[in-house]
Amino acid sequence: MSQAGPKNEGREMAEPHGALVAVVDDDTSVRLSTCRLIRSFGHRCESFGSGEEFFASGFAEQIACLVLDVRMPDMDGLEVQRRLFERGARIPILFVTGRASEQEEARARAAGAAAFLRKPVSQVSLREALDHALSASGRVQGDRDGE
Amino acid sequence: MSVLQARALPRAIGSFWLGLCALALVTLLCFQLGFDATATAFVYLVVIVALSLVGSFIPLAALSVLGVASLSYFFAPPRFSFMVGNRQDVVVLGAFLIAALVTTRLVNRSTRAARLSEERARLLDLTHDAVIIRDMQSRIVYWNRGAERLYGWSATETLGRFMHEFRMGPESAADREAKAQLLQTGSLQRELWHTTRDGKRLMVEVSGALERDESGRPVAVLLTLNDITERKRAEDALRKSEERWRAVFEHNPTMYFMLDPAGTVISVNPFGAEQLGYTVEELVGRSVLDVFIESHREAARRHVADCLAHPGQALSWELRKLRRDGTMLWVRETARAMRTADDEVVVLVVCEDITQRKRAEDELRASETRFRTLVDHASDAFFMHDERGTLIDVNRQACEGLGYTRDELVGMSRADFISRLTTTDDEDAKGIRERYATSDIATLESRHRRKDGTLFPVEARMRQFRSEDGHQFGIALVRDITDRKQAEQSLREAQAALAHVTRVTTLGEVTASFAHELNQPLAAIANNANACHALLAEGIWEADELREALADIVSDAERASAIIERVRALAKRSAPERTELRLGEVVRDVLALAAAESAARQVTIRTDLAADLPVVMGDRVQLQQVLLNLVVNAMDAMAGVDESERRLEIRGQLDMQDGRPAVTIRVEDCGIGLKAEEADRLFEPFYTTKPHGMGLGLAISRSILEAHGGRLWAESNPGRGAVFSFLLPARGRSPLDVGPGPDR
Repeated sequence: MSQAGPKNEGREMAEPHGALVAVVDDDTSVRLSTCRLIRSFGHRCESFGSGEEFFASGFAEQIACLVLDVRMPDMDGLEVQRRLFERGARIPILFVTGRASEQEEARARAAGAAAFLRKPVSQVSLREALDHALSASGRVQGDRDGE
Repeated sequence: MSVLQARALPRAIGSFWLGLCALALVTLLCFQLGFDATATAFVYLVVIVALSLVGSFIPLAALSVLGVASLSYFFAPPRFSFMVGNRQDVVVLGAFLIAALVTTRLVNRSTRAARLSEERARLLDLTHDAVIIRDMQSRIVYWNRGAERLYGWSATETLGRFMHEFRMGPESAADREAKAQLLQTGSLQRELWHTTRDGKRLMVEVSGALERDESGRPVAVLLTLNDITERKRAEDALRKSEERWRAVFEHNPTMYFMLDPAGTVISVNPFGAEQLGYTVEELVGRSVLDVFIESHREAARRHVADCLAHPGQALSWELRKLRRDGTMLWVRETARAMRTADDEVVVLVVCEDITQRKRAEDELRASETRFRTLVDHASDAFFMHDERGTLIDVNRQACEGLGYTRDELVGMSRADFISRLTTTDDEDAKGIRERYATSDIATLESRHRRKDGTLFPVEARMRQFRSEDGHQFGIALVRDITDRKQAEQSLREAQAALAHVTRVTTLGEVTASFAHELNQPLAAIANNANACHALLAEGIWEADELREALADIVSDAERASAIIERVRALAKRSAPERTELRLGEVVRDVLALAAAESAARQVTIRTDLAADLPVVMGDRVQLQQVLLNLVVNAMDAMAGVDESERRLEIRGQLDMQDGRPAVTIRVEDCGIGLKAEEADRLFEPFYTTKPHGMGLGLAISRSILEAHGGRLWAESNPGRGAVFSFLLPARGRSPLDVGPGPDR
């Protein structure tokens, strides 16, 4: 959620006060650019290069939503999803992937994925999916509609 | 000097003195009584006769003379003088002297005779033999102690009785014969059966002599008898024994020879002679060397000499003998030199015909040689080992394959063999032994080490078995599979190369992989651009953030380019190589690659390639790719055809292209065939009749052919199915072999 207001040229970016979203993807530029995009939506964003990094960071409890690549070396997206589930975290997960089979999609959804998006993801789809996921989990601060 | 004579002298002297005393006494007595000469003469005579019983002749003769002297002196008037007045007294004296001498002599003789005969009788009694004297009426005149002992009758019982009274049985024919012989010849020597007093039957040897008187008339028979029962029994036993041995000698189916030290045959048994085709007489007296074949005679002579040099020791040998009819036989002889009872040296030889056995041995040896030759020339290496695993035999290939000599290998222990000659480690060896224990056969692949240290792969097949005498053996057949391994390796490499190229040139795979790769930078670019857009739309002009985002966009775009460049380079790497190819080989390779698939799909593939197909220049892998593509397509086309009908033919023949020699290969199937309008569209990229096809295979194939200066086209097969053909120019006519081109 961004601070509503008239367009201000040269105005600094407002303090991000949206939910904390985590992005996990083994491709650096994808990861960073996704994070940037999410920040442009007004959310806070942290990115991690692998599932281990994510769990090791300690952010796992704090995040409101997870944007997750399916195909990763070592720990893949589905594994991350499973681990979170085992820990009792009910964080909405958006899977984003360059290539994934139908089976993987089916498994992800069966395991409770909030969305399954294929790269390259349009910013509209991403924003909508994020809004949906965050509102559903009730962690949204502020409300667009409420403005 | 007889015993009697030895005692004679003292006796004579004694009797003289006795006589002298007696005479003196008598003279005195007669003188006193006043006897005259005649009466005294008679008295003297009595004394002399009495003395003659004990004395011998000479002293008595002397006494007689003294008596005469005494008579003439003391009794014949005139007394006390030796003159004799009366003529009658002279007669008396003379008569006395004569009578005394004669009587003395007679008595002497008769006593001597009696003494002699007593002596003889004593001697006869001493002898062990029975001596019987009978008269011509068979009355027993003499019966010695020996006869008493032998028959049990004493002399008193027998003397004067008839012989037959003591024989306890009727006279046998033998007895009568004996008597007759005796009368005829005057002597006899017989063996007769007699019976003793106790009823014991004896065999006696009777020697008899007939005593005749002066007129030649037989008067008595002297018989000497010996109990020869024991001797007879012994003789009988000996004879029986000798008969037995003779039977053995004569009738045993073994050849017996007895030779003298010079090698002459002293005796041979009938069987021995018969076996050689001779009679016994023909062989006795001949040199034993005669019955040996010429070339073995020296050896035979040497063996006999050996026997003689080591008497008592049995020696054996095998030689060949010659029969009378010229045929030959192998014999095994055992001989021993020994000394006989007569102290002669003989050689005893036992001889056995082993011709059959020799023949069997020869056959066995020949058979063994045949098998050995077979085994030796086998192309696989052959090892035989005993129950402990020690090598006991190897064939030529084993030696050559490993680079060792037979001597170096035979006798090698199992441990040595495994550690030096194989790469089998302890684990494997144990596993092999276990397998061996359960099933007697084990097959395994391993590597062997040659003497020079080089290794080579082998397949070994091992089997255990038990021989007739219970020993355990093992055989291992080892095949050098270097060639096979290499062929497998080549095939694997070819498959890998083909697979690799297939993967690379079938754009499906490539597309998928590079599509994904490209996706990443594209997604990042999109994200960054959208981010900038969103920020600007919100009126946020965070310059650093924007600058970073744009910088990221640029770098991602570069990354994308690099990916595309890589793909292009990959495609470029498969620029056609230029080597000489025989299409026949290409076809063969492709069939090998498609073999599994064709078997699985029950497709029969036949080839019909002309023998004189010229060589083409090209890229082997690419052409394999094309042909494989056509073959797989053909198999796909026949998927709906009945299994027994699925046939694929690959033909190759000489063709022409623009007046120059070329080769055309046709792949004919009997599948669903082509529609006329499809024939050309098939080769368009992305055109496919298959639900999951990419439609690139034929397009690529055609471009490969064109790069080779050939072409690829399809036709309908009259009847059923389709024919895909490609043409390649022969060597020397292809754009590919116009000088060495650039590497790219």
